[in-house]
Amino acid sequence: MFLLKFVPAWFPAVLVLAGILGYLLLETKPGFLYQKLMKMVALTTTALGFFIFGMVYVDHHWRREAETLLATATAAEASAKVVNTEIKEKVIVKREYYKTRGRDIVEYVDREVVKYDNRCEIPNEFVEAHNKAATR
Amino acid sequence: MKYLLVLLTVMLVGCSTPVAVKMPFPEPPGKLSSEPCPDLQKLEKDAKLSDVGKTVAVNYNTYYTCAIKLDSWIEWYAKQKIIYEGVK
Repeated sequence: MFLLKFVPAWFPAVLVLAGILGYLLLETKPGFLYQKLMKMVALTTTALGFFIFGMVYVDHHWRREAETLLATATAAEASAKVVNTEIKEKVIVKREYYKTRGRDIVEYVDREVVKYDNRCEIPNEFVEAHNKAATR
Repeated sequence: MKYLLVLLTVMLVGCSTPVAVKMPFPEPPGKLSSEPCPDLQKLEKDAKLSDVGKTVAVNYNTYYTCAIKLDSWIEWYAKQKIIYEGVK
């Protein structure tokens, strides 16, 4: 809660203490003006003190929880980046391997298989079947 | 007095404080993995045996290059899932 930033830590304790002391004073020494009203004010002050005390406690609790969660999320984000870098490097290495291998095979075909070009005629049906299979 | 005690207990509950903690969606595993796979090469009508050999080799290569991308996404998902489950 935004307003809790401006509430000093001692404030709820002072409220509770003031309320209780005021109430006890009114109980032990009757004869004050507006006795009943003053008692109600004292009780309300005590209740308000407890309320703010509870608010501050809950606020601190959730902030601690949020900090823990934030730290975990930050660590997870860093881990995700490390994982990405590892995968990226693996992809580059594998891609390079297949690129080189593909180039070597094409070179081999250009050097060795080309010798059989005149001995083997490729029928159009074969070409069509191949192209059909290669079409997305 | 007993009503007062109940009231004070209720007052102790206070208010909850919503604090938003966001974990960004993990980045993809690099630009190379995000590129779509290219179409396979086709043969010309008067193709020779060496053309067939080259086209088949290039197409196999295209397949394996595409498989690397798919594998990288599978690995990415598995590892990111482990990280995400560690945060929950």
